[in-house]
Amino acid sequence: MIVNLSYQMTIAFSSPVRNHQFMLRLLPRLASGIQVQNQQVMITGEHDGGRFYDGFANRLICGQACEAHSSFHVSYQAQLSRSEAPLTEQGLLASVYLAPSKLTSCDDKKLSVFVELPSLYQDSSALAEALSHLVYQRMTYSTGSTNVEHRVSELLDNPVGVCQDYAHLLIALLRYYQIPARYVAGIAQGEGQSHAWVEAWIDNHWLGLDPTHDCLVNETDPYIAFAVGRDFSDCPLNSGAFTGNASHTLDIQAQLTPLRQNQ
Amino acid sequence: MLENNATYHQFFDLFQQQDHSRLAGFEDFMQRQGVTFNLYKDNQFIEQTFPFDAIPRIIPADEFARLSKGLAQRVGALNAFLNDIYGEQKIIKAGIIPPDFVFGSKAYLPAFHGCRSPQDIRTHISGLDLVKDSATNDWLILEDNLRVPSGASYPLSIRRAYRQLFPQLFEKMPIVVSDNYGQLLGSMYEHMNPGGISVVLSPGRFNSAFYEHGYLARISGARLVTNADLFVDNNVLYLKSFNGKRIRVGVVYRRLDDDFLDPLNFHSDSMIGVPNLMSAYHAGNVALLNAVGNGIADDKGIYYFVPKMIQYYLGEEPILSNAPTYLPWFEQDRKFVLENLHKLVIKEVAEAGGYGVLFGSKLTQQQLTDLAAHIQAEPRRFIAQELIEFYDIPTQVDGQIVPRKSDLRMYIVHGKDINVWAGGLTRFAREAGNYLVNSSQGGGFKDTWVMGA
Repeated sequence: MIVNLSYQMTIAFSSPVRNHQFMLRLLPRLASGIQVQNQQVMITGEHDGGRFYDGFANRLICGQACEAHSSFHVSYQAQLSRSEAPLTEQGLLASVYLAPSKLTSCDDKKLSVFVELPSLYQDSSALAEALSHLVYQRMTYSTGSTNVEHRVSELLDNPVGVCQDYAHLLIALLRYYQIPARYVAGIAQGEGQSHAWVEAWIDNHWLGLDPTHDCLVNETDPYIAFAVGRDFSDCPLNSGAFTGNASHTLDIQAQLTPLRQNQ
Repeated sequence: MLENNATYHQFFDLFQQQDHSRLAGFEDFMQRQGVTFNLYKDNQFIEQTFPFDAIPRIIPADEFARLSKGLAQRVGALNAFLNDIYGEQKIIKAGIIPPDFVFGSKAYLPAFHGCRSPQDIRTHISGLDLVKDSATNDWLILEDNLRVPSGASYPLSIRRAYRQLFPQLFEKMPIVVSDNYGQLLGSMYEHMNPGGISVVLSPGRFNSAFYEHGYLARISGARLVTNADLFVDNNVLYLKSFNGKRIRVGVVYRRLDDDFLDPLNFHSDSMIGVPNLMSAYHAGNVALLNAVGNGIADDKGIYYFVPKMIQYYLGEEPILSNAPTYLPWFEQDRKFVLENLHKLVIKEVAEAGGYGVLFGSKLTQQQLTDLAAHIQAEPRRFIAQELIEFYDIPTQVDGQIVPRKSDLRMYIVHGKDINVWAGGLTRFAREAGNYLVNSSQGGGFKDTWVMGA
């Protein structure tokens, strides 16, 4: 798979801010088997900036925009290709993704009532797919109904939300069945905004699941991961602190266009 | 039972001859120097002096030699554990520690996996809590504090007052000088420093140990700062000096928890952290003392495994033992714990400062039944320990000398070498029969005298 990815991320401030310190997870995640060519990144006020990896092998851009500004931009363009080999990356042990995390922890009993799985599944992959389908069925998509701190414990009472909530609920269910599961933040074709989906550690590789669209994420599908973590709180695309009394809104507009298929 | 050795007799013989009206000088000294311990409870800020008792804990030379070896060994193993957990995770792969005990802990920070601390040192300043068991006459480790252990400044500053008020004791007894603690810190800073000055980063005057932050900065040759004095530019940490110049900072002895260090990486609403501090850490431009993520090593659930770490990483047998501890998470231990609940001490792994500690012997039948149900439902949340009959130390209460339970916190500074400071904070419970000596539980403190050979 080769795709052309471009995006514009804009943070608009209600009044000018200064000393804006930022940390971004907006670069394709190389550990997810992505190769990058002809990359151009432009960031407001950044001089050299810092490029680091966090413990989940997500790429970080750390920097500061010190002069007063009312909007902050990141524009990005690159050609990306993705290896079609199953994703087996080394690094953190998969069992890191078994323990309940900040946003996914909830009462096991409530979770088991919520699931009501009809039957036994022949293997973990089939179970994972069934759980993903279940989340798709039980959740109602509604933009703006939840915020980024929304927890699975709240979703069990009121299963309404956006892709992040779908992902969190599926992660909680997979972990309930002792399948390590992680949150993936990135860009998917057809989504103008950023997207979130799930990877489950089964048979020594990461199986991609998109409960919002009720589908598997295959290596050949146009999904580009920026960050993974135990849940959203491990991998926000943007973190910042600034001087100034301003509210802000964040917008990301992405185009992901397949160039050609390999082979 | 009272701890007793020949040196205590020597002390009391001399102490009887002293002018006891001078004892009031300690309180004066603490008031004058502002030696305070602040409590922040139920949104109430309480500033108080830390109750002090002049009768010291005395550690004979041979005992200190053994303690030194044992504590240095333990800190070496804990440091190796932290490097491993944030690196290869071999001890988990080897099946020595179940993954759940590490990965299920809030103190484990996978976001900093692979992020190396300069010189691979993470346990720069540790405070290990010990008690001396009256049944075996031996020291036991109760707790490892590897995040921001506090308290060293109290025995340090009171020693100065002691020498002034009762010089004769110091002439006649071979008390090892303890005022090298600042030098131990200072040379450790130098060993860690990638370039720049050293600072002590304090959350500010409302912190329980603010007195200590200023004191330690002064004796170790560091600047006392709060977050407002610091900023990051291009992955380098700077101090804003009063004349507007920027001064590079290479070492941060931070006296705040990980959660508050950098709002971009931890609690986003932290007002006491430095935004992007972690970018300077990632770039290797600053040493944070102690390292980020150390909390996983002083988790009460991990404590159980420290003797195994010593064997695994160092290939040695532990010189100092843990208090006998059971993990209800293991089925065999759970059975024992549930059968013996009425004589055990139950601790919640996530709590500290003497909170979440239950003495089985003091619970009603109903409370025991409830506790057993909690342990069965969430075994990972608890550890159980045998009740240690640790020694009392003679303590003055209302002009009388009475026995009081006392523990000991010893400080270990890990730079080029691992140095055990020949002093320590002895804490005592103020009520008879109380086993909780924590200052947050109203305990007082004593000086700790290490005897020369």
